[in-house]
Amino acid sequence: MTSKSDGLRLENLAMHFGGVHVFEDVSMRIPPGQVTACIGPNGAGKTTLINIICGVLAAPKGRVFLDGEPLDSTPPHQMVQRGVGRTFQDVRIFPSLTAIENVLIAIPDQQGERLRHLFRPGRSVGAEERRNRDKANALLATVAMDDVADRPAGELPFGQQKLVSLLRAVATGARILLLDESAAGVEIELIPRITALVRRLVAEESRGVLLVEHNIDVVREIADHVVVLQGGGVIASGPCDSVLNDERVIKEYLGRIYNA
Amino acid sequence: MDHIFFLGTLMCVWVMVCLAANFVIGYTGMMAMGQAVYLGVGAYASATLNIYLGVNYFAAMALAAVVTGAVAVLTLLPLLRLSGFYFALATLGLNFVFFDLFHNLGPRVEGSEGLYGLELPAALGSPHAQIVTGLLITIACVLAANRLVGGAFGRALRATRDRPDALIALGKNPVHYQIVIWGVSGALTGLAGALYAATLFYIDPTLFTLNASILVLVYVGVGGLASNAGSVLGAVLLIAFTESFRYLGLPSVLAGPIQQGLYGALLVGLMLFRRQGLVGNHDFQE
Repeated sequence: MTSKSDGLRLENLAMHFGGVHVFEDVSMRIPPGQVTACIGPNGAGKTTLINIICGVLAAPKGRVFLDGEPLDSTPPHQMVQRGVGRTFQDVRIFPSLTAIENVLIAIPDQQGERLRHLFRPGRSVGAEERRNRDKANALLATVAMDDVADRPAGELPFGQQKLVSLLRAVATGARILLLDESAAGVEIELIPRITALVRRLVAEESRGVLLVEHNIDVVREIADHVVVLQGGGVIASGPCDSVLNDERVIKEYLGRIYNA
Repeated sequence: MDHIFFLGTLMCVWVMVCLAANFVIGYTGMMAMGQAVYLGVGAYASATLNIYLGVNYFAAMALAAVVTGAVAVLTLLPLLRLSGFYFALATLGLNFVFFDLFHNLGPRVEGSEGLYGLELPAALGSPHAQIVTGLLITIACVLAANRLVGGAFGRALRATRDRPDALIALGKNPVHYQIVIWGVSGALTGLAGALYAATLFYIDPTLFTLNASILVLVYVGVGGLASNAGSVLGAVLLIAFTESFRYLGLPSVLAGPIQQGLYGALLVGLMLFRRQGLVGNHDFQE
């Protein structure tokens, strides 16, 4: 059964690079209004999963559905229009654009980005830009970054760049957000801003979030559902508490982290 | 005085070409090394329309801009799979292809290598009329250029330059912006080419070689990347610098080498100590 609010559904995905199998038979759901965390060791294929969902990589087996409709043939630049946005583990900020411009660029359907509207008489393009600036400023304010709005993003500390890249994905308006290690490398005092933002997106805007994360404290704090990817497949999946207390998960993955 | 007016109009031509080149190089990060190609297409298109079809020269200028924009997009499409060094090399190759096309297929007046005999309206008919018209066109182009790069469209160009893969993830297609700005840049260069033909009264293929393309890169580099003011400054200052040697009264055997040497030293110094140019907003090494 599928419905309009099914969210994102991955069915039996497999991936290999040449002869190297990354994973087999991975299925999961990222429903709206919930945070689904995907955890697992480096190389388990978490980022690969995001790249498959976004159409950057083609999976030889399995399918991806959004609200029951297949996403397979959607080119990567149309994923946001379909409702799927993402961040990158390595940030990929626009370094010469200011923080606010990084957020502004993500706002969809801007008349001012189209040549035919640019030279039309009237003030609609200018008014649109002012509205969008207010929107972007408000977003920056939610993570207390409005004071650095006009600084080139490339000059910001790494943690703030990560926050900007997260806001950028939020500003696309995508209903499903795929967040690739948003807390990794971020100064510890900034992490609560990330978790509070994600919580708000889920609770108030009913967005669905796939959280790929190594920071188990962050997972414990905001994930509703956890999927553990390890050794070429899903070894556990379920509500956050039960998965994080699962003996096999502790033995094969979490134990390693906590003992490290 | 006529020579000063003539130089002023030439400055207008090169300001327009530099604005156009800076759109693609400075703002969008496309290593365009063949701007002379589109200058030539614009010049040949307007001259051909005027001489052989009797089209009013202002209409011919507008048509030349449209034709050159279309030619620019057509020449870009096969190159879109390339980037960086390879893209630069391919655009450099366009100079040779188009030199041959101008040379072998370009119309010419019998007994000469090139084309002359333009029927120019009064507003372009004399050096002092040309400087006024040239300035008006250039000012309009600068204003349009500021509008083009100042808002959301310019932001999308700079994002295309910085991280095209991240732009894709935000639901925008960098290739779209590359094609649009390349077409706009081609059209503006074509318009400049039409003004160039009117200024010189005579055009031939040797005006549109790799040398001219490199000159544009130098003007833009000196003036400053991703800056319309840089495009204007680069062209105006360097043409003034080059031409000023005429008025120093040096023997030509000295003037040439001194001018070349100073020009080169200026460029080397600028790249070493101020890579972004005089008023540039972008540094490819950062």
